[in-house]
Amino acid sequence: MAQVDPIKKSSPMLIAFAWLIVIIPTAWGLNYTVQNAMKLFTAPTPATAATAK
Amino acid sequence: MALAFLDRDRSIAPAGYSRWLVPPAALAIHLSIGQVYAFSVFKNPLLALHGADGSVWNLKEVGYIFSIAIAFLGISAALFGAWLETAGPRRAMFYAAICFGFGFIIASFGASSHQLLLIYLGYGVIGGIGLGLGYISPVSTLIKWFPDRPGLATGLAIMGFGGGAMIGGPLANNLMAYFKTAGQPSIPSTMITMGILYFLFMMFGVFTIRVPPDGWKPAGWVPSTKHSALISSHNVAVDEAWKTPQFWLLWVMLFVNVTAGIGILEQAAPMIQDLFKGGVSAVAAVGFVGLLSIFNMAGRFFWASTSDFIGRKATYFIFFTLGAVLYFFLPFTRQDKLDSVPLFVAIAAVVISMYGGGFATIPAYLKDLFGGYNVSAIHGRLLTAWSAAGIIGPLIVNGILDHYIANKMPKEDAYPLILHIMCGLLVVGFLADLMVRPVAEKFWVKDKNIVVPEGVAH
Repeated sequence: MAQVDPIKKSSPMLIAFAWLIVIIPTAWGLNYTVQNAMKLFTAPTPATAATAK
Repeated sequence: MALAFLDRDRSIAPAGYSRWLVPPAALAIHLSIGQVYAFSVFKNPLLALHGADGSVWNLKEVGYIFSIAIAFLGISAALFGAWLETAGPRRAMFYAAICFGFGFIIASFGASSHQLLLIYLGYGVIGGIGLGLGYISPVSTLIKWFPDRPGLATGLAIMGFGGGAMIGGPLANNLMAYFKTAGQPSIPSTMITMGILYFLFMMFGVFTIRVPPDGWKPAGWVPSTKHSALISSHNVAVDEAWKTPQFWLLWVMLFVNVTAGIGILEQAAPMIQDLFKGGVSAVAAVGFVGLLSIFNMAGRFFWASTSDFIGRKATYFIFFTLGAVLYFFLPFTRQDKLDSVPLFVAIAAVVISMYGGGFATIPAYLKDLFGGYNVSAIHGRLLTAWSAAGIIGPLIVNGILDHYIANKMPKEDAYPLILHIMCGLLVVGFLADLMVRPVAEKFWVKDKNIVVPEGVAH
């Protein structure tokens, strides 16, 4: 009887690595964007800035 | 065909290949081409360049670079969609990478020699072709791998387009600062570097993408026999699809959704400062733009995934009802009315999430109506709605603003008019969605049924 090779499933490490390749630059860009977005909540208003001088 | 390793037959997945390797391949493409929405970081540096004769470019001339790129995105997606179905995603992604990367290189020569036409040709035309090829290249493949969750799958990829702007902006800024410090011409060096980096990153997508073998389906998944009749049991070829009323109804829906989003995105930073004079600084306005880009990206994934559960028609109903109400109400949050910055920001964030969601959900809606047979090609033709919105949207916004400025009328009074026009457009979108019905039998490709629907058409 011919031996049937077992189906080789994709390695979980390979799947994780593939996702890391795209997640890392996305997280890098998201970090910049979040820091920018925080300025909406932390930047002083023009009136406050003028008073503080 | 040349470069046989790119053939569709050579990219068929072996048994056991995990479908979860496919979204990263698609994301690599979309995260790269999404850079186009961050092209504005080059605007001021380009304006500061001088030719040998001392000439400079103006805002309008530099603005055409982005417009040409988006125009060619739509043209190439429409022209090459049918070719993509037979050539396969790997070859399409490869050509997209060549065009997008090489487009940057040509544009760099334009910047260094102060020839705007070269930048139009490089980034605009050639890069734009890369954008169109890259945008549609993974859609059909993702739908084949995820027949149980097409919204999730395409939402992941198209979310990458939003993420690409978040990467492209700081990448360009950091590179320009680095080359300036190093004494190199900053724009040409940055463009060459970005062209090479994006080409390499897209190659990861080229060599990771696989198409499922014929007849493949997820383990244990059985297509439901009880679902809306809007989910087609037949396929429609691309040359028949655009003869159907359904195609044009979806075209209108995408057009109005994108135009409405442009109504906010086009003037987000100046709008919040004008509506809350003295209450929001220029720095905070930049933060507002950043927040909108986060919700744009998140909305692509959220709404497309949600559509797998509530249906595509219902998802767009939410965009066009809730969206219309929010657009109508948004101007009333301004300083001389409710005077609420948090409410203004919250409403804008929600509507922009639906702007992104509209892009990401449309491929699954097309698949529902026309089957998966030619979905990339049909999607490509539908993207002409995006190109049209990219022209009409800014014309509406800038035309109204220019009118108010020219007539010395308060600019803050222009925004309510713009937003209410967008509200009206969304009502048109609602009506278009309401009219969507199953595609008539005469348009079907003559093949055997996949699933016989039992549900009502809603």
